Amino acid sequence: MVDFNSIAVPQYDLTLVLAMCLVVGIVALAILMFVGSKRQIGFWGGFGLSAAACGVAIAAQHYTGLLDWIVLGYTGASTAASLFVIGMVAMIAVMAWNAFRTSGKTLVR
Amino acid sequence: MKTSRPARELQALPVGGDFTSIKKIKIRMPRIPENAKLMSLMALILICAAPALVSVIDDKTTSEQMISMGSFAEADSSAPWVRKTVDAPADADMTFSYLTDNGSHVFTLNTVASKSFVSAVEGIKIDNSEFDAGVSRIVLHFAGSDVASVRLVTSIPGGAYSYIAFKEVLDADGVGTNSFVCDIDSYNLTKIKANDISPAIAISFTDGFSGMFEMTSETFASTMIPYGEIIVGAAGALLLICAIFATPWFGMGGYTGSKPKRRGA
Repeated sequence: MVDFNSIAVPQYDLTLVLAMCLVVGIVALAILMFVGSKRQIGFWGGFGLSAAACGVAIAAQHYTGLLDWIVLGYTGASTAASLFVIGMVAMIAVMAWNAFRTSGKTLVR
Repeated sequence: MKTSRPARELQALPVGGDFTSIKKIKIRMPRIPENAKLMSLMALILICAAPALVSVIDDKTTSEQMISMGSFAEADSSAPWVRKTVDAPADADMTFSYLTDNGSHVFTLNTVASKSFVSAVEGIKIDNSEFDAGVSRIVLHFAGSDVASVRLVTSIPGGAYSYIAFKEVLDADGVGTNSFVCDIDSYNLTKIKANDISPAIAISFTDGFSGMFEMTSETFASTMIPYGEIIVGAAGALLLICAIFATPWFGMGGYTGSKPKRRGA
């Protein structure tokens, strides 16, 4: 039987992995600003994506807290958490539907 | 040709080479996007910021407040009695008078000469309904005698002797003020409520009993304001409202969806 304790497997912190993904994403966006003519990211697009990336980074740093609230909401143990989960699902669903109906032009109609 | 928006023009100096052709760089402020794109950006930021806010909120983010509930009500089974010292003569008169009026409890020995034989006064019971109302802190003020210690006896009838000790309130110099505080923990509160116990107060004296004392009481109940849950719930309500306004059927500008094509002349 293999003793996993004796194997030098590097243990990557999830936070580090997500941080690397964010850095790669930012570099890709920066490249997109200078490549191509139709899909360039403008100032406001970059601002919005940066703010969104900050939110994702904060949520990733405290993902256990977020999971706690989601579980509390999903199981109905907390009314406030249930309201949050329903609000998130509704907002994502409406934005996805608007993006589908407008062929990706807008998320809000 | 006149441009619609003024732009600052800078002269860019070429690095090395020919100075005859100077490149003009126009710096323009970023244009505010149209409504739909602006709303889309705000929706995207909201959908990422809400989970970020919720993730940093701990459900232990609460604020505990103490509410005054006035004096405690004495139980119907309350019956004060005197615990004598070991050297008290058998014929010592230990009878007493006990009066309760408007939250004030006055205890007086009928024979003051017997005061040195009094070790403790026990049996003043707090009605169980006080704890059902949420009381978790009891403050006792004594006057007339120096009290050594106070206990809240929480024994279940037929069970082992158990009590919670009151803590004396000290002044800035560390001297006792003859006031005592008892904070009842969850374990004892549960025991009191579950067994319908009316806990009794036991007041002990060393040499400070003068033959009488007056006791007044204050009780407090604690409430908790769950700030964490309030913020999470408010974020959820905001998301729901934004989701409703994001649909084409509900908005301040009327229906914004695709309009049916009309056929006709």
